[in-house]
Amino acid sequence: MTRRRRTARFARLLGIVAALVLLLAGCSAGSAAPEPMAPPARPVTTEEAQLLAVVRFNNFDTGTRPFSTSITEKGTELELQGWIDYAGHLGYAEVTGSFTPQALLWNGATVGVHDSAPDAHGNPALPIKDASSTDWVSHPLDGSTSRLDSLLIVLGGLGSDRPENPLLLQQAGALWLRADTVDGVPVTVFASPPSDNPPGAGDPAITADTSPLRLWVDAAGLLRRAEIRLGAQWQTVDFTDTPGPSLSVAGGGG
Amino acid sequence: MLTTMLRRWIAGCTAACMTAVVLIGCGSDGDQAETGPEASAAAGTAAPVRVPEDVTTLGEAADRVAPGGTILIGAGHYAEQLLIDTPDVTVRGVDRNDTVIDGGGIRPYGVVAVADGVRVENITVTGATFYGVLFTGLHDENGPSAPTADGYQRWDPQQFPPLQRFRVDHVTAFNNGLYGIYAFNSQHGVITDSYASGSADSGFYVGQCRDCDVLVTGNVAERNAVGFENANASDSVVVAGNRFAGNRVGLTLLSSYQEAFLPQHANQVVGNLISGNDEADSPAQADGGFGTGIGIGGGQSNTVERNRISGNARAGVILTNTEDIPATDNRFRDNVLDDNAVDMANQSAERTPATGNCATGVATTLPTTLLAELSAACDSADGQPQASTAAAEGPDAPPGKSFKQVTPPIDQPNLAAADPAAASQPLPGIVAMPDLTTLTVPAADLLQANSGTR
Repeated sequence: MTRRRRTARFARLLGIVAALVLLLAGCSAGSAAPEPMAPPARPVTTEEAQLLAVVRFNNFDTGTRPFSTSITEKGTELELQGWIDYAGHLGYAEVTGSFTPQALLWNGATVGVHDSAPDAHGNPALPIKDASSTDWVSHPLDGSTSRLDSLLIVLGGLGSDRPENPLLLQQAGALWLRADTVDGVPVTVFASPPSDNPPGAGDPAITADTSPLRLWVDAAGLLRRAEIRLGAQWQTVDFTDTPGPSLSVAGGGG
Repeated sequence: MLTTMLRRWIAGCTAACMTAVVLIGCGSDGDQAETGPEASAAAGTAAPVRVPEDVTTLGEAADRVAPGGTILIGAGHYAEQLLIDTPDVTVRGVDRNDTVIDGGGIRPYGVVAVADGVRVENITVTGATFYGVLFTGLHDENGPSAPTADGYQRWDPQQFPPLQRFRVDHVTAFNNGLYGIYAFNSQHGVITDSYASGSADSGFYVGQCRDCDVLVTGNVAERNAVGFENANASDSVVVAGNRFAGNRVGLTLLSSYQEAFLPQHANQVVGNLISGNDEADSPAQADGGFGTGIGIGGGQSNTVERNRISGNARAGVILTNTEDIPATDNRFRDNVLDDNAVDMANQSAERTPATGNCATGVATTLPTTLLAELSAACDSADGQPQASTAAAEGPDAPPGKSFKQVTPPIDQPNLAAADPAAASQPLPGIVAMPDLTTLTVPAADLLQANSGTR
């Protein structure tokens, strides 16, 4: 694959993402105290694996997913709200906090920001500013130095143009964690497999805390919430099932 | 017990349903090993199991049908997977276009056969996330299996001998997640007069068999990432008189390390239309392929004759290697190649050069020196070296569509009413192959009446 093609895409292999996040987590991956009386995590059933196997494809099939999250980046609280276009391989969010609001745009390789007020709904202004504009301040995505970059990489990896293999998800250690609701919608909470491959004979047992990625999935296989562990902290990202705009950027491909 | 576990895997039975499966499954398990074609034929004289008249679900029909029996499925949408583990069963839709098994974008399979001698006829399968129709000799307590692009647990063909005798006739498989109609680790089968579109891997797939004795004929594949794909299916595979037009890639013959029985070899590809494989209304090909008629990746000693290979925007034929397995001794004779960006290109890696590939009737090659090398190989029994290579440049591949959003096909012809006497006969142990010498280069409108979108 050429460099140009690679930079035009989101990081697409969950295993890469998982490894990255585990790297950040180091040895300090905290495990929150389990809620009293919570049923124990267990391997997914066949039907649950089938549901989990279409989650990333459904993001691609849907196209654009509205999302929101908050994150502390180098001591600064950031609120993000916007969209991820899984078919177009672009994410675009308004970033607010104790600073001038910014529009943030990223693909699989690069992130850029410029000062920009949100629209009436808190989303970033459309159309996206031309990529050749000198207003953009951009840098290569680097999950090893930035919590925000790590989060953006993981979010971009939640789309795939084809379903996953449910058998492989089972073998690789996907777990059922619990039943829950998001905005009143019943969901199943899964721990994504910690790697793309089944664990080896000598590997430690996979527990609810092994994977750095948890997915809240409704009965149709639509992702409603994700939790991503960065260091010892879990970041919550909420998705809505409302339509979002197709994202495109002129003047250089974002 | 295997039967029971398979059913649980595929159907997600309730407890009450499981009781019935255990009762039936245990009995038929023992029978299967002993059931020969004669016994099946006798049982096949029983009345068909009708859905929804006799039973309301496909799972119940599969439980009830006896060896050699028929499941006759009425018009309707069936949100189920149908697993056939009883030998010599015929699954037939009352109306090919109105009898629809729908995976709903969540269930991995439409129809799965893991028993010998199964026919699937006159039915539409759509919305499966993996396979529309699957025949496989590989299955265990986790269910039926076959390799996938994103991983593969190696299976021992000794432990799982190939499924025997199968037939797919007048089946429509559209908008399934990876494959439309798929025969894996299976021998002595026919896929005929069927249709596949909107598959993110391939419309038709035959994989992992030796002495396969498989005939693929009269089919249409369009708007797939790949129309027809063969991985490690060798010897007696005959691909004749099909229309593989308007996909991203028309046809591939591949050696694959993900499957047993390397290398792929000795297929006969005769009298097919392989054209216009640069269709944007299709899912992306996993490696970004677009505009290729025939791709041979480590395929060897295949015969490609009297096909019409035209209008492919990158190349009519591309030769390449699979890792350390070269493309060797393939013979292209009497094909009509026209209007391709280039007729043939050799993209083999330097360390795994193609040898002995012969072609006549080729006008343009990449590199240009390939033309003489292809001709020389036709005059020599030796593996003529073909070390010169060049990449075929085609148009940029357009973004891939979601398999669920590829435009559906037009209605397809129904299978003529079955002759009851013929239908109750078990499938033959050896496929009756057509006389390939009678096949001529097809017209550019081969099977065009079955092509197109709603």
